[in-house]
Amino acid sequence: MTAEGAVFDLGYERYAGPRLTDRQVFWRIVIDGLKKSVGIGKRARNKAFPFSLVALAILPAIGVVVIQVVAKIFGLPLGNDVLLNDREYFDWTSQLIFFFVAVAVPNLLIPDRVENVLLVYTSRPPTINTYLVARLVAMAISVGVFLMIPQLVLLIGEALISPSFFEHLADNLSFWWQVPITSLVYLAVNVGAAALIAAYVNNRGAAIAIYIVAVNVLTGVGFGLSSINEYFSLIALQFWPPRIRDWLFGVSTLEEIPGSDVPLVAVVAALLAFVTLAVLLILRRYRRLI
Amino acid sequence: MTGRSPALVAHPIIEVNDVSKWFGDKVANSKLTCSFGQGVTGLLGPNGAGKTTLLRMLAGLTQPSDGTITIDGLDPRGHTKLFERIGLVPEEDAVYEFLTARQYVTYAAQLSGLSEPAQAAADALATVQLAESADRKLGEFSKGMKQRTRVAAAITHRPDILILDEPLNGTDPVQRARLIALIRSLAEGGATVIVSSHVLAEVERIADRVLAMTNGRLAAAGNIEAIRAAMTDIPYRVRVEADDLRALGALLIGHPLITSVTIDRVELVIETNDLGTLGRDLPRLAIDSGIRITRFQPEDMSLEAVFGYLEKRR
Repeated sequence: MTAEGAVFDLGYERYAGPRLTDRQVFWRIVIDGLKKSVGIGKRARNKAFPFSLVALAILPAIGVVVIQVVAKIFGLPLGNDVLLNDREYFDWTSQLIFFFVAVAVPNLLIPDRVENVLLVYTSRPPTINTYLVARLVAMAISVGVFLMIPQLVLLIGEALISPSFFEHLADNLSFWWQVPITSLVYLAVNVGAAALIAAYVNNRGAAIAIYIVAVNVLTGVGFGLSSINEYFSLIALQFWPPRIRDWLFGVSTLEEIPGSDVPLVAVVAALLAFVTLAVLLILRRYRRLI
Repeated sequence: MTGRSPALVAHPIIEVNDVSKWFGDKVANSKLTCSFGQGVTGLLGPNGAGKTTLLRMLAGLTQPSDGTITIDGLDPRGHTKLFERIGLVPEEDAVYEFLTARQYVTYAAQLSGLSEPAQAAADALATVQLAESADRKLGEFSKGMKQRTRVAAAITHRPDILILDEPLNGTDPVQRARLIALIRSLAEGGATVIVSSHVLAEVERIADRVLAMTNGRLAAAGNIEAIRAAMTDIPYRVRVEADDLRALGALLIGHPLITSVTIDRVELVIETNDLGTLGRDLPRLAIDSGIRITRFQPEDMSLEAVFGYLEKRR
């Protein structure tokens, strides 16, 4: 070739074989995200924390079922009582999810950005939007599984001690919408906040600390200011999921909590506004990077 | 010389038309017009010249602030399918250190949509001679090995456009020679290869054609000799060794081709505006005068010297 330009014989041909569809590539990124969120493929110490939390989430449910089964077998008074129902179990798993998300989301987002690995994706057919959606779907699946598995253990356990396994399942059809929607609300609040922070903070430790401190400070501030105006309680993000959960389950267990008189519609509006804002800010951040 | 600018090639794959890119007040690229075709084009310039920004725009990662970039007539920003044709080796470290080279390149192949990513990864790793280290974690790799892994990830889908930003950084001489050979072989096979570097000797070894950039603008384009020949205001400098330097110096003073003659210890340093004619005439002059020339070395034909001139002209 010269300055005038030349054409070479085309001995080299680009790959023209079969290719995965965009959807298949998307799911490859989701699977990669799922592995990273629980430390699969990394050292044992990276797996210890998420798997400990998963164990802590599931073991009490198994324990409850075992106690009830044993009680039934031996005719103990507990036999047909439910020790812990699905709604109540969210009080326990939501605490674990808070810490799971605090660690998993920064692990999923920050190293890719800080170590310039984003280019691995964006220099290929997946767009930055594909990457972000796949990462969020990975988090949604891992958090969803985290929340749902103990609930399924409880449901099946209760069905086992009930007079009729299938009748119990049939009587609890509401489980199949109450629990997933409640899980989705917990997911939206926790992952939304953690992802927003992880998008703008470049240090994983700092992102974890900021998330934990920010959520707790907002809760304190919101509840503190609710004495001035109860709508200030909406500042407390952690207040939203249990309010919506109670509504979904048709109970009211939060009368003692400040701001419990705030209409549910305001809580839902706050949740939707927060999720929308978080998504827009995360997209803005990543579009500036690419 | 045809009417076409040396910055343009006869059969362009990538066309850059009046492209500028600015970040706030900082202008990274200013009104660049050039094109790239098959073969290796070296993108040369000091740090901060705007090479990486241009490469990112060529790869569709960054939108030009003004002007257009097309690949076979399509804007890479709006046509992600074009990415199936592009292999990019970015300047920055972009590897998952906890993965093995095989896992990393396989993942890259999956992202490129290959239906048999494991085989494609194995082939690419063999091409960069990393087959034996393929199952070691990237965190254990030297910088040069990581660099080769990134090249493997970039070629795993056999792109016909390969964009390499400082690909030889951190490589030892043996690895460098292998990578240069690989890049040359891809280009000779028909790929369009764009290689940026601030190491002038490397570009000289790799590239058929050079685009030199300074301050975000094109400073020169073409092959090294053509660029040098176009610098009519800067004389060539030639070092000549002979058995009688003083006699040769006296002979050349006042010669119409010669602009200056200096004796530098054991050699003459001659400056001329017409290197070709001097190269033909000097031996005859010397023979006629009974002087034996033992060395004739144009000292500034290297890319480094050319670029030194371009820098001075900024």
